[in-house]
Amino acid sequence: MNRYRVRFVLNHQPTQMEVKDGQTLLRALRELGVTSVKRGCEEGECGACTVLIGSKAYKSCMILAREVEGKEVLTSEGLVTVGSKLHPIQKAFIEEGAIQCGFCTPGMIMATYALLMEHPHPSKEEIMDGLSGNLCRCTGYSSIFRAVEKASKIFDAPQEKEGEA
Amino acid sequence: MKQTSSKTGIGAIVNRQYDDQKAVGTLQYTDDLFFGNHLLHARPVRSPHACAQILSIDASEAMEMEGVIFVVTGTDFPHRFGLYLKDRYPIAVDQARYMGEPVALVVAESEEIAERAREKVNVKYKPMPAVLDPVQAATDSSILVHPELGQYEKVSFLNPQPGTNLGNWFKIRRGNVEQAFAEADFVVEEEVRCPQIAHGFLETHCCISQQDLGSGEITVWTAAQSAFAVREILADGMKMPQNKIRVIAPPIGGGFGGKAGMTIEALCLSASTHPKARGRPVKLFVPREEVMLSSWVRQAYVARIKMGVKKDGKITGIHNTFYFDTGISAEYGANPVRSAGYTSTGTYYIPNVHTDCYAVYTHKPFGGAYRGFGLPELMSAMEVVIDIAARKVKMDPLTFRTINMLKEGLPTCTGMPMAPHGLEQISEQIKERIGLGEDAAATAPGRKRGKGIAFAIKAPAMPADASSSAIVKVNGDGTVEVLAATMDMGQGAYTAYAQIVSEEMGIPYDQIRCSFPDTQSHPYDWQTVASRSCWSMGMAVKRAAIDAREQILQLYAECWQAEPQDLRIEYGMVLCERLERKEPLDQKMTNGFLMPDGVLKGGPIIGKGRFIPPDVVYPDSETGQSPKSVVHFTLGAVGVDLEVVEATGEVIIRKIAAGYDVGKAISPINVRGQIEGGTVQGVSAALMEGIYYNTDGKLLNPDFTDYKIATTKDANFEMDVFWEETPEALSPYGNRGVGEHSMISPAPAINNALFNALGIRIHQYPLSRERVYGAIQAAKRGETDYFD
Amino acid sequence: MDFALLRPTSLSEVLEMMNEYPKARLKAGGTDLLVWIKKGLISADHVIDMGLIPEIKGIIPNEGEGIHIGAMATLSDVICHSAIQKDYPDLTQACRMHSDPLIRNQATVVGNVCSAVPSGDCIPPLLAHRALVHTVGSKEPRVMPLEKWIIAPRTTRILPEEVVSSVFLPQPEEGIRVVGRYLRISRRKALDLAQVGVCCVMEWKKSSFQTYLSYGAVSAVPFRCLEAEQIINEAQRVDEELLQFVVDLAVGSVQPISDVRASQEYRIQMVRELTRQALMECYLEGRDQ
Repeated sequence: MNRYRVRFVLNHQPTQMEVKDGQTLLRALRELGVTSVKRGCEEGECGACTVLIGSKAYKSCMILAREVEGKEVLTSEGLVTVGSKLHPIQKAFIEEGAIQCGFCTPGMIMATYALLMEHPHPSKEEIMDGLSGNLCRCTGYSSIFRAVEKASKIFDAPQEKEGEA
Repeated sequence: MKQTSSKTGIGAIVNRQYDDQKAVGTLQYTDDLFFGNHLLHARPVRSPHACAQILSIDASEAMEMEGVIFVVTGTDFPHRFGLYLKDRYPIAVDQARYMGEPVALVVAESEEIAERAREKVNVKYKPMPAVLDPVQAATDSSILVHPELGQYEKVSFLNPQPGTNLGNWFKIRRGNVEQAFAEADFVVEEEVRCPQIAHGFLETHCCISQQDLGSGEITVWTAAQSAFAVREILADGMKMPQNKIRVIAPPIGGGFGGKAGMTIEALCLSASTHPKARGRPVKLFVPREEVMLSSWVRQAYVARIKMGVKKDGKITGIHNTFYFDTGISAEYGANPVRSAGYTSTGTYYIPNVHTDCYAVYTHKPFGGAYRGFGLPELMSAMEVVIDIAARKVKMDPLTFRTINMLKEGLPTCTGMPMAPHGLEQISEQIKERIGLGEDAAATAPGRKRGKGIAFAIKAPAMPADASSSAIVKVNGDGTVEVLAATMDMGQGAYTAYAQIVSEEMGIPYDQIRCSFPDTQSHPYDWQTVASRSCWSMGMAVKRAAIDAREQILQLYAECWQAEPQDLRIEYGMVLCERLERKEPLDQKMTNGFLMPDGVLKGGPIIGKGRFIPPDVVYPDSETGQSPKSVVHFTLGAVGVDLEVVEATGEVIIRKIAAGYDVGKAISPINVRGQIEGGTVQGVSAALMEGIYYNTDGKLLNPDFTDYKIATTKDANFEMDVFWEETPEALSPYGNRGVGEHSMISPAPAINNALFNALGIRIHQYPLSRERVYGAIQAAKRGETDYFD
Repeated sequence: MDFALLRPTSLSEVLEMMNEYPKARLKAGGTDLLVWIKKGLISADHVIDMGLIPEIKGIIPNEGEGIHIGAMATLSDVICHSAIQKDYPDLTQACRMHSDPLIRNQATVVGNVCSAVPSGDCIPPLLAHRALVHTVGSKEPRVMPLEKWIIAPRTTRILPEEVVSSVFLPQPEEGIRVVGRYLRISRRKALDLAQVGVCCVMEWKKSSFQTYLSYGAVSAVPFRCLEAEQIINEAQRVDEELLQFVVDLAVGSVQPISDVRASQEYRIQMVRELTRQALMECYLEGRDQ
């Protein structure tokens, strides 16, 4: 099988990757060393592979790598500023004890990011719906709801651009 | 007098260790480790029959594919493994015993090649009759899953029955139940059933192993709860010295028992120790749809409970018969059976007890450790029968439970006296928090509302000699590294240990770090299971921290010419008020103290601590009696307020209150996390989980498409969690386990609430919409009990 | 997964590629296709990705006629669309119940129709609105009622040399108020296949109405229950007496299976229940306005 070069923006940086046609974005990102996206089920059920493409969140196991040609992809690593400051959503998750084993966490945080971009002050219903594609077996979700509510209070438009000084 | 001060000791709220890496996604789990092109990949060929003789395996077509290096079969690796009973082959030898059992392992340059190649391995089978139902398998020995059961090595406290399908038989014989039933005013006899369920962790199993070409030494990287147990089991199974096997346990993405003991490591080793591996590392990644075929499931059960009750509400006797379906292996599954058995009067004092708990072999994926370890199974049945019995004597369910409660000093079913606990206070709290006993109207037409309560109890289920040890290393800048081989799988063990060290050494929490297990560097710990770690390893860590502290104070005392008791360590500073001296811990921690007489003394400060439960006695194999069968019990209760949509059977939980007597909350944020998480896991299991097979033994719902677990929308209820703190006598700070307990009783609490709402008793789990709907229809026909 | 990916930028290019690779699979969102390939349920040597074709991305109103839902319009696009919310509220509801927001950002309505899985949530609402399937091909473009489009599970009337370009929703007549309900039964609330799907649409003009009643997940092919519709439209009311009759008709017209998700018996009972609920809610809402 031939490899194809894909040029895209990953976490604010122009990036290239060599991928096979049938390769998913999940596997391609992991080959690039972006391991925050996880192989939880690879059938679109668990959300541990959630990324942003443009302003929308997707399960990267359902996206073919070649489909991000020319697009902007954001993962949880990309939410950290150059000064290593964690994003308010990441901080809120830590402060509210919304992380246990951590395997669902990057995906859950990306889904939260997408949710807050669309609904900056979400109701409980909107939070539940927004995160309904992300499974967590450890926390029982209560602490995650608390974290999202906390994050929504401090997160408006991005004040400091993520990934840049 | 306490010689340390810390703001971040026991009971403090701190940021958990490793949360920052988890939030950013940089923490590396086993599948994230990078090994380069050197790495080989293994995929198993799986049996399409539930029971079959393997006549031949022809791998020649697979071997012709480019990139396929070799194919392993059972005859290449005929070692049996097992923690408690060696009945498990990683690759089937001569006979496949369940549909999906590995019969060969293809090893190739990439996962894709291995995946394609496994289709090309031609295996010829002779199908044989299989037994799938546990009650049938237990009572009819015409088909034996393990004809050679008598030859398997085992630990002394297991009781397999060769010539039958009973992998273990745990008994309690106490008093005289027949007489108790004769003297009772009411006898209640009930059956409750539950299918196997899956752990549902987000990270699937993954193992990489490598055998050094020069020395033959083995390194294993694996998603495991217990690095040392993996090493011990592998060394024993392969007859290798333990110090030639190194097990590295990266952080795991959820365990819940599903990564306890040894899961896929031996299977991976069958490839890396193959002569053709030539020292290359081999990775075995288990995709989601093969998780249940590769490792533990929670055992299905059929529970039969007979209870005698007097008019005044006192339970006179109980006869328990539990059939646990352990699939093809009881090597781990034998133990939830014991754990249920030696707790088989639940939270009650019952003077006459007859219990038979069986681990039954069937031709299905194998049972093992699952959060709760026999107690969700026991209590999902017992707490339902208790409610039924309460109704029989026309008593309020909570009052009935309270008057029979196993209060301090009363004997459990093994004869062990119960220690003090706060269950009565907890149950009163539950009653108040959900308004138990108060009639409440449904909130919408077409709904019925109900409330229910269930008690919970569990002791750490472990061998009498399960021990822990820890090392505390002090660095030359006063920071500390703790080597404690607990797997912090999210429960927050490292946070608690760092708080313990902070408490005992007076060093700020942020300067203390715990690292993930590596048998090469960490000292031994039995396993991260049983809700034992904060207690057992907590004790070892405390002792290690004290050891380090004493050394430091002794050396400073000599150096400053003071008495050790005049010195304190506060927030990382050593001070002596009398001498008005104060300084931070510094390179003297590694490079010694220049004493007044000019001699260098000390050197690297290493604190060590260990702990072993001193006085557990295995229950007698015939009577199950023991003066101290377990180290301690944690008790609690769950109250549920729910509604049922009569038209569809949908259960809508409005509120759950859950409380446990944890002894002492070392790390409150983590105690809360465990109770919340386990409660939702329990709700999920109760309402929607079950593993199903067709009549050929084929697993019908292997992946998340059809094995459904709770999403955010299924956790749309108020959760009110709390805890009591009745100190545990033998404990680092009075704390006892809580990790598993919240999983035990949501299911029966829901069952009881459904009875309250609908007036019909459902005898099977899960309480799915379809089952609840069926029960509603049966209630309309005037039935009182629903079996489907 | 092992296939060659083709990424045409126009519909005509798609058709050329289909001609060159007759066995190629078309990928819209891919949320069904990729799962089926990965699980080995279907094979694919070539996959044609339609994501770069501009003319099928949008939801395009045809003034006075109706709305075209382009082949690449996602469920999220449909949920946000105010005209669809107003005139086809049941379709909006169905899209909301489908899976979860992440999948909805990717999965397409047309994909749901072309996958033709019996439980496809979008299909009953589209049937109730008498949707039309528009195809383009090497021969003449075709327009076919959705009712005739699906002939068996996972099988449609698509010809080898054609592509579905859109699904068209005819506009309700002047003065019509549309009330709609899509109700479904599943094992849990999010991301689950429907075990029963019922769609009721009532188009109200003053105090009279036309009913359209369709079913998914309870037969090999989703369908409209025309007999039930006729009874209701003649009666011009929905009450207990009518419902008894209609519900029996509905039950008589479905053939659900038993599988690991639900038993036949439960599905039949839920057909009763959801039919009753959907009709009653539509009737009361429409009548009260």
